[in-house]
Amino acid sequence: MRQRLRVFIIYFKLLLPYWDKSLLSLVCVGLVVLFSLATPLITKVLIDYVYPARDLPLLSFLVLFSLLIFIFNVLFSDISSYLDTFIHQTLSIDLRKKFFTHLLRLPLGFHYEKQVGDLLVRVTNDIDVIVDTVAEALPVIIKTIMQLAALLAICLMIDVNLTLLAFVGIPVYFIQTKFFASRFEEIQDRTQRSESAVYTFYQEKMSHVKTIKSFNQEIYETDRLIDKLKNLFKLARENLFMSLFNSFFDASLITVWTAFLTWYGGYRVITGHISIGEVMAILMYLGQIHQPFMDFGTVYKSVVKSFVSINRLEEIMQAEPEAYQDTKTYLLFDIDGEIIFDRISFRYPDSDEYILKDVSFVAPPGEVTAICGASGAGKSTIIDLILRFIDASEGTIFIDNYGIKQVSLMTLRANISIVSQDVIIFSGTIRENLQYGCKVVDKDKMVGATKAAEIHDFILQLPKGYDTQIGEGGLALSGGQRQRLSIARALYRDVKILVLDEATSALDSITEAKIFDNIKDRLKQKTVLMITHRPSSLKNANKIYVISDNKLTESGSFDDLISQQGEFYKFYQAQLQESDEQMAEKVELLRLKKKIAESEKNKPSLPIKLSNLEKQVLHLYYEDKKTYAKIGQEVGLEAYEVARVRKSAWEKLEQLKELEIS
Amino acid sequence: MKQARAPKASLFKSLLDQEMGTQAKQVELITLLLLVVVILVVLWLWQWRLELHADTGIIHLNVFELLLNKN
Ligand SMILES: Nc1ncnc2c1ncn2[C@@H]1O[C@H](COP(=O)(O)OP(=O)(O)O)[C@@H](O)[C@H]1O
Ligand SMILES: [Mg+2]
Repeated sequence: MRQRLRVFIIYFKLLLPYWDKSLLSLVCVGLVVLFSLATPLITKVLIDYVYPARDLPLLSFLVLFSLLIFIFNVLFSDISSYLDTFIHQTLSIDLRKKFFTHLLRLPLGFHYEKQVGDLLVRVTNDIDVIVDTVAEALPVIIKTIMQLAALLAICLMIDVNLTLLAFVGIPVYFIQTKFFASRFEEIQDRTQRSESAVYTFYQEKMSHVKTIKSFNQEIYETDRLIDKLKNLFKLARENLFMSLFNSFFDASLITVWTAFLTWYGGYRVITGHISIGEVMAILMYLGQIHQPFMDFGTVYKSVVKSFVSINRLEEIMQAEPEAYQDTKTYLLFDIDGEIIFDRISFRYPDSDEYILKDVSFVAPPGEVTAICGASGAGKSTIIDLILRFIDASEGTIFIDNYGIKQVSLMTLRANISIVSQDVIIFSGTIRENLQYGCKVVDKDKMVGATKAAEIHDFILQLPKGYDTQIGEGGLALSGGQRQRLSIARALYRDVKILVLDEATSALDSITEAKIFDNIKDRLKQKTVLMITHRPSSLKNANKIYVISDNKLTESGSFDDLISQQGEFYKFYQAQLQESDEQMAEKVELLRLKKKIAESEKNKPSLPIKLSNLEKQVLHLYYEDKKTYAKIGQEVGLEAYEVARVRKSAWEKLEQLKELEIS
Repeated sequence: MKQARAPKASLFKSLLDQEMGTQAKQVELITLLLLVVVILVVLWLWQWRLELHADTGIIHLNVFELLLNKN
């Protein structure tokens, strides 16, 4: 019951923005109810007075009077319909808007759990049901209540006995309506669920037609669809049977009751308690009750059904969106673009298996930092962490010394341009796809980006050039074309941080080399994080981190890693399928190169010294395992300054280590 | 087909083309005016005395009293 009350409060809240129109519509409905009381009363006067007294002027007057009432009645009921429709449509748009924005703002974790088909049913069916209920059913309920009250009052004035007896039937009617309503609610719940399953099924299968065809599973999938549909049909039949029972009960109850009242009314007339006109009026009123009662039953059932929908929507509306609205954050403008991973560990909330464990690295501005590792090693996870699609379980990611949790989500993502592993192209023109998310349109820049991504010539050779429709219903692009388009899109955005997640996986190595050559200069102004398997693309990286067993195991330049003969060496060898001898030669060559380089710069290097502050910070950080905030309190610095100090100290240490080795 | 039909249904079309928010505002205004009209009509009917010939003689009633009168 409290649950019901809560839902009604939600409904009234939905109507609140339209209170003026709702109120006006209600006034109109009230007038309509009053007007509809007049006809039986006029009949009563006609039968009891006008006909017996042969009063012609009064007859004419009453007919004109009822005409007037009829006109007003039509006018006001039309106006109320118009207002209700207006509320219906505006509410529908409002609700859809609110729901869709909310949906897009929910964290990715939420979307992983939910199925698209299920969400589709919620955005369409469930919202429809709710809007119908609020904008159509509620007015009907209110109208019926007003009508009942008015009828009761006026019938009581005419004859108390007959009226009381007539209204005794109402509770009986209510009880049976309630009984059926709860049955309908339960069926509705199962229907919506089943419908969601069907939508999900369609959605999934239609987007993977290729796979189904290649496995020859067309008939099998159709059979599975039929299974799911059968369930839905069964539910529809259950619903039908319930409706049949229900209307049978409705009709019998009303018929029996009317018959009884006709008899009792006649009895009251014959025994001289009331006049013929009066019994006629009461019977007419009872006839008027008939329809609203039927309506009320239907509407009540639809309201109860809508409880299912509102719960399904609430479930989503109550999910916490990402922290877009958080105002206590730094705004990232005009950044250098340095990315620091500081002892990051990550596991998905519902699993206790770490995907990343204690990962630390720095991606400095102006350099290409590469991450390589087997598939499933957690490379894309690193990118999801930077974009805050997921949050690290332990550790902190810094961008320009700001912990990214302290940074406004919008500005964080605005500074990162990404070519993701699975390229998504929206349906629209090529131009629209390139400019997705960019407010300012700069044609030269766009052409520059497409030229750099080696896709410009291809676009020009299309009949409509940049205005060619692609995506659903448009030109189908090959995997490589889409990837190049996606690279162009990322370059066009031209922000400080560029993330390439296997961005060249579908390209041949010649095209890849061309693209890297084209963007060499651009990359010097950016922080580039590149994920790739390809040894050829790894040569473009300033520093490579190798990830395996959830950890960063090796790091260094391409040449370093080869000479170390560790993981990366094996990986590289396997990729290029080179023999052991070939590899050994390669390593020997690199050793020689290094020796020459060292002898060339054989000047004494400046001793690297740590400042006292740096030593102190390092000690507190590594020995005492204190957080930046705590260290900050001790040494009198802001947390991000501590992070900066620690990082520079760390780099110095690394340089020292390198010197020691050589 | 649509173009051929358009001029015929011009009133309908112009009603549809109107922005819904402003149209609703207009409807609201019209409704308020109508309500005033209803009140005026009711007041006018209120003082319109009807002549009734009962057994006890002539009675003067307005239409509302007549309708709600017992007997
Ligand atoms: N939404 C998810 N929920 C749970 N586990 C996931 C999810 N996405 C990816 N994983 C798991 O995380 C691991 C790393 O995935 P990913 O970073 O995509 O690997 P890759 O290195 O190939 O890019 C994989 O073992 C994968 O199974
Ligand atoms: Mg990946």
